[in-house]
Amino acid sequence: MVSRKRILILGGVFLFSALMMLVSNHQVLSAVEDEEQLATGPGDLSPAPADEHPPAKALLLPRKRVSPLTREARKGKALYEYYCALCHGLSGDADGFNAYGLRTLGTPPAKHSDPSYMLTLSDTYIGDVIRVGGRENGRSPLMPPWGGVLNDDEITDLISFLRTLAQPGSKVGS
Amino acid sequence: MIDNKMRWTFVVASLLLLVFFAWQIRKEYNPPYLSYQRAFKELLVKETAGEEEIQGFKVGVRQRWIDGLNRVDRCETCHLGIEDPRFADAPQPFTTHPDPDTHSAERFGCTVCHGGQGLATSLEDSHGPVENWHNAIYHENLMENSCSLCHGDFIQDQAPVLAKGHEMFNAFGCRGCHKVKGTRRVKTGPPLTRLGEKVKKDWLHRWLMDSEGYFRETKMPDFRLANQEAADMVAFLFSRSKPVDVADEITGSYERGKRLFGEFRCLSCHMVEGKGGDIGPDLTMASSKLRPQWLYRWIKTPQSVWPETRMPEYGLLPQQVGDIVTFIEEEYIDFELEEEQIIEDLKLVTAGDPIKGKELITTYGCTGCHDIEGVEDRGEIGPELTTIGDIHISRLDFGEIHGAPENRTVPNWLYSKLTNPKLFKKELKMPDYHFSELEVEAMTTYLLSLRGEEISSSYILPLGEPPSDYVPQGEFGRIVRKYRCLICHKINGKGGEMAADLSQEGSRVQEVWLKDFMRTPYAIRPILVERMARFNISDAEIETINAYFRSTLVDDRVEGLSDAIEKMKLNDPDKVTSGKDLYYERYACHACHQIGGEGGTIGPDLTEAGERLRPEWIAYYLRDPKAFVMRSVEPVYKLAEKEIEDLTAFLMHPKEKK
Repeated sequence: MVSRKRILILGGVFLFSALMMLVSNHQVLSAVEDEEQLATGPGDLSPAPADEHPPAKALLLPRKRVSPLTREARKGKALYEYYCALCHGLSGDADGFNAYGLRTLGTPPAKHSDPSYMLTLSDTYIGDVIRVGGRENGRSPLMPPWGGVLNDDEITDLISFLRTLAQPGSKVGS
Repeated sequence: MIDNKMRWTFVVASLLLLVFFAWQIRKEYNPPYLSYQRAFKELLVKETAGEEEIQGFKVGVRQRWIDGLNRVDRCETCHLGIEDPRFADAPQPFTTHPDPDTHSAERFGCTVCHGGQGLATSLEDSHGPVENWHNAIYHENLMENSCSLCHGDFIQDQAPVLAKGHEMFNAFGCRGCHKVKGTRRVKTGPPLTRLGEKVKKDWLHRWLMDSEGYFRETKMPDFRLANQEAADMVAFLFSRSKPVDVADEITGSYERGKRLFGEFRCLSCHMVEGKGGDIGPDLTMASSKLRPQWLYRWIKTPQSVWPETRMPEYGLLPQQVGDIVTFIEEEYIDFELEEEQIIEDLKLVTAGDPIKGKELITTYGCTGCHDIEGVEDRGEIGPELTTIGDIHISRLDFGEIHGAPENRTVPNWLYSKLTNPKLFKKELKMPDYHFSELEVEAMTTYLLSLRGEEISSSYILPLGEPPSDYVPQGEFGRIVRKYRCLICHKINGKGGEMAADLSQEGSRVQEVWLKDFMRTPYAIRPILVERMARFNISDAEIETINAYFRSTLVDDRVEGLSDAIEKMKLNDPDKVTSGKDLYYERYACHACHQIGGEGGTIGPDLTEAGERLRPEWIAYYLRDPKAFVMRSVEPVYKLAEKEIEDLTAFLMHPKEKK
């Protein structure tokens, strides 16, 4: 009798602890899931959005800026605006303020927003034109070499931004 | 029986206790970060890491102790891939840090830049804020505040938001009301003595009520005054003025004034109908604001009216001043201003109570920006901000605002306050500057950078250019102040960005050209809207300027080329011809520079280069275009010595003008 009871009790205890372990394991698992959601979501480390008070009574919080551009392209954008947009235009439409001058000299600047044209150019080739200039590549000598100003990483960044200009519906330059 | 029951209860209770005990132990051995470490190990397998690496992966807390920065960071307990380039595209928390080289985790840890709780080992605690641990991770838009800890506040290139915030703090005169140790209090507004001689009474009322309605870019904030309050303040400000001398009638010609207004390049500094510079106030509706007699005196000798003004002394003849005043009076009218509005404003102001007005002026701290006759300057009336960046949250008053606990952080308080200064309490004195979202972020970033934190000197690495303390002395200094040269030009790091840096001007330009240019300046860059104003500058002053340029504003690297230039035989026609080939064919310089009206418009016009520039300068510049202006858009061609000679010869050779 006694031994049977003992077996029952021991069995109950095992079951109970097994259940507990499952529960605690589940907690850990769900923590992972939560975190994955955070990671694949907007990746916002900032506190939660403003609460539902009327606007005047709520704290005002900085907003996360969303950019369709990658980190490289964002760096490239800054370089593009500084060095290239003067001729090629902010959105790559070949309408920078120096474009008129270049037209009077016979060669308008290349149009980076034109997909059918941009598709014919490889990244290596574009990088080469940026680095050593148009003349060495059989193009217009009006395009100067930038290899002495921009390093290879910067040129890669620049190209990744340049590529976004010819994508339909991604007018980020303007 | 009872014995038996008791025994059973005892057995069950002990077993429960045992289970609970076991469960607690298990929980201790299953800390929240463990799941991340397991997930990371799986990633390692996916990344086909070697067997050794996977076996070598040890579960446990990873901690870095950064002694020099007083930081102990356990962030890498979960952020396991921050130093490993294989995880660049991995999801957080494993993503590789984008800048592992200059800011390695080993030397800097994480929290010194990102904020948060380095010691915590759970997501909530480390990213914060949680009770008793208030330092949450910085919002990425405000993160540049941390740069100042090692690099100072003048980091234009690497931390533009922080630098902008710092600039704004000075420009908007925050220092007038808030003390920041180690900085000087500067009053950014004009003195308000004898205001009745300067402005019209009704205008002043409208200005106090809505300054942006008159001048959109003004730095005068919105105090959200009631109509009556503004009227009282006007009544006080006018009560101190001497009666206006109306005897002098201003006479002049509109046509001549219009020509002079253009000739003296007033638009370089003043905005009119959306066009022009932002150094002086907008003139679009100037006649509704200013009294012509005051305007006359102002244009004639601005610096005797306000010694700190940015307006130069043009040395105009009385008739010329009269013409310009006539032009401004007739041209720049507030067309939307109704007669009834003026009457209404005047009625309010006349009934204003000067005693109440003075009280209001004292309360709102107008003396933080303006010198006001009859009002004692009580110094900084706002809280000191020297260490606002690490103020404890409990010392900030959230007033009636009950934000979610996770939002109650110092950065969010500052951000909210700057967006709406009266948010926490209507009665707060700080006025509203109507900052844009980006401006609020910049200001918040700068304020967060004001910390009392001390770090090891081995971490100090100033970046950017701290303000120069160059002050030109003697006769040259007097001329520079009189014409306010440093508002547009920069010399030795001091001055504005609008015009050329003159630090090496003596090495750059030829004497004859300089003297001619000072008499009749013109735009050297073809597309420039702002160009140098014509001052009635005397020959003696020009001699002083030239002598100072030639003796002091020179660069030995350029001067050292004099002998080499002499040996170059720049007049050799062959050199000129091959230089021309290089200019047009090989390097296509005309893509950016014009000669004889032909070419691009990015760089300066080179038609007169031979008369303007010294050959030493041209040769040096061609060799190292970034020597003087780091951010010049000039490409670097790495020219051969022969090419530099030929190009210099060509540029020095006289050219046909258009």
